[in-house]
Amino acid sequence: MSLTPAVFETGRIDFPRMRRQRHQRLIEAMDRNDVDVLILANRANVAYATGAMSLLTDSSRDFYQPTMAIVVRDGSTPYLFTPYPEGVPPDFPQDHVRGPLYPEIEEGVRQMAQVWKSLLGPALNGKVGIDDYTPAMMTLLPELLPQATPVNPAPALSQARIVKTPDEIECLKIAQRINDDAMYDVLPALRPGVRQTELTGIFLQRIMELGATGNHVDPIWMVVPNRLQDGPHMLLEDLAFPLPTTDRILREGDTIMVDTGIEYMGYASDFGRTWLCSLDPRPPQRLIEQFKVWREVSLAVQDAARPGNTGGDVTRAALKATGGRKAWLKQFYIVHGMGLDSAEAPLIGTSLGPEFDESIVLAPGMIMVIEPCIFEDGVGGYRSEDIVAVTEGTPEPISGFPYTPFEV
Amino acid sequence: MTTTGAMALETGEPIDFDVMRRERFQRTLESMERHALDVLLLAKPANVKYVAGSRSLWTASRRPFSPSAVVIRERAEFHLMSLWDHGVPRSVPKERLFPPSWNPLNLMETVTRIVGANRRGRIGVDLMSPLFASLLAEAFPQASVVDGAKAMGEARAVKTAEEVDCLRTATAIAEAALTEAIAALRPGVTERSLLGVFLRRATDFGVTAPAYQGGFCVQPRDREAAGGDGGRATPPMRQMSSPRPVQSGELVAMGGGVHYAGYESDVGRTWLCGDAGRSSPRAQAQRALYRRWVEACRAMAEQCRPEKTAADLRRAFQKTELLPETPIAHGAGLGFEPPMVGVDLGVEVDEASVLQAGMVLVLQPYVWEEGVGGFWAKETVLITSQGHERLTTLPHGPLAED
Repeated sequence: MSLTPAVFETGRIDFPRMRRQRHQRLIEAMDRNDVDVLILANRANVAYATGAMSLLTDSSRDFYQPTMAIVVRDGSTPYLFTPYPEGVPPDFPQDHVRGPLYPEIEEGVRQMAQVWKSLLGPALNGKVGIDDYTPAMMTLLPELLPQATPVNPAPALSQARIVKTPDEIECLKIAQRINDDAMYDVLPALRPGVRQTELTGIFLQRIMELGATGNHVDPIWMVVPNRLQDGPHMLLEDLAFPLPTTDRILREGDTIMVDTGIEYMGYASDFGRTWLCSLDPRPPQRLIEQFKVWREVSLAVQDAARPGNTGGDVTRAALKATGGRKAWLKQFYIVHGMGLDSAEAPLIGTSLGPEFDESIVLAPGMIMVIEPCIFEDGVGGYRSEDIVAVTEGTPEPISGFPYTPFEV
Repeated sequence: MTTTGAMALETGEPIDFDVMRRERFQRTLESMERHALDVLLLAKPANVKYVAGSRSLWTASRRPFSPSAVVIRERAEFHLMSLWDHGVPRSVPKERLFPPSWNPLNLMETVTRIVGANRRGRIGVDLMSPLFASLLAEAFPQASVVDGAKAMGEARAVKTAEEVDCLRTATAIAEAALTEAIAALRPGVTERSLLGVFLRRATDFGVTAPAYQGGFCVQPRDREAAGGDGGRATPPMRQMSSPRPVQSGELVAMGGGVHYAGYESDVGRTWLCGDAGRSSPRAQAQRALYRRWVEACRAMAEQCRPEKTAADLRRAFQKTELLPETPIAHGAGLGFEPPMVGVDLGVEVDEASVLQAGMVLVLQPYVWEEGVGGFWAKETVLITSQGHERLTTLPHGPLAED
């Protein structure tokens, strides 16, 4: 059933070109936002600026052993500081690669500031945007770099990263393909008595065989309660999703919301489906009705995924499809982007509000992960995710797993 | 007590998590007092876990700063940004839960409400972003925002008895997963397949996400194969598993980390692939390399007792070996913890890390020989009042045979 391991199709991706184009976008965004120097510690930002791969870890290791990067507005080659020399792109200039920095430790921050000064000289006297401050950086940098004017780097980074280059889209397709393919091994294992963690085990092993370079998020196999009162205590009047996986034993008749995300060369996937745990997985009529509504909303959003449309146009399209009922979770969004992070700009339909949504203008190269959730208290719920890339014309599909056991 | 399996829920000696959480929070409050902190604003998942005992969704690497737990020392209470009580200990009152938000303004409003009227004190943070720095300054113009990481680090460094039990359990699980990967090691298996075997076996014990993506890597035999040495005596060790098949006679560094109740076990062994002939010159050189590692690790372990410092470990290693770029030891607890021993910050930084009973260290020396390759393995030790106790139990296989 499974398709060809996607990792061997990498001939389609020109990695040096991808890095050049990303760097170009970053420099343009720095110009637009008047940022002279970017100093980056967030793994996704560093990968964007330099192409550096690193061991995927939990946050505690990432804070102590980060990859870091410096980008200067003049367009010169970025500097990369990494504990993982093997993750440096082969064509990256070796004289711009340095050993790791230690931003969690005060002495490390002093050493770091010294290194930056010697590499950058007067450029550090300008507007410097640092994405993450450790307490040691927060305390010491003002005195170590008194000439630097700290600015918020987030707008420049977001503006650069929100539109993907063709090579980035290929990476995302491969990540999604690996994730989708792995599910052909997981779905048959979903039967009464399986533990949530067993599904995780099958999934993690399979993505590694298929060429994933990492797993981004603890895979979710959540049992959907039919009534809110059967779920946990919840601060919003909505379905509590996503509840982390445990060794819970799945039972006949359980409705399972699946949500996973892996990575290929740093690029994320996002898999969302609703499955049935049953020896006879034929969906009941109530869920078929919800699936139909879900599908209408997703298609309406895909219709609205056109260049020039705003985030507001997207939410209105989604609302129109349900006759005005908000068909997405209060704690989330109707659409999020995907790239080197599994949920990134554009975020549409969040608590940032309608004005923020209206400020988002869709453009070719943006990724839209569309995730309506149809939940009705006392009935249950259906949630899946369709992923498309915005193009000049019809949006290009990124995800492709069937909606089994529901039929289009 | 020994390690716990699922059946201990009914008849065994389960870990008393309530006691563990109470003691951790008490240690947090005491540390806040020593550091004169009135409020702690915590974003790092491990710190939030330490204070609140909650289990939230594991995601890889880091997220931009967003306050997730707020500790108020005066009222001896913590508040948690969690939409629901799933994964939150029963002892946490529902009114201490607050919704996280995509909107930073909503979040700051929540923080302000939690802190209440007393807004003049010292607010410790464990991470910061430019946006939140300005929002905090606006919301608390009379407070000072200071380093909260030191206080958390101090509280977390010494483990309670229950925390040690969690670490023992994590170690048993990680060693089970590594044993399975060792069993799968044979010529032709790919590095990534070994990683897959490790990750899958861990889930048999209820582990849902790794502490870090383990490395299952053939270590290069010479500088050229290592892609240069970056000007160091020891070329960097490979840590990122690739689709490369392992060949007979190669040394494979295999290791990974798992979480049990948030506590990390980090295990590693270097194993010889296949049966390359025990008396060949290459096999003899590999065994000699292993014995060098044993000597370096033994010398470091001898220093693992109260009042010794990380610098003593560093010097013990340097008696026979040259420092690699990877730390030769690090702390462990709720994930990776300081100290990082033997890194490029100078011996003075190591001098400042004084060992105390209750600390847990992962010794991970890496030794290298041109033409033979690298040997790396990990031993987890608990510092006790008398010296130390080794928590790892796995042997080293064929390389250890005379």
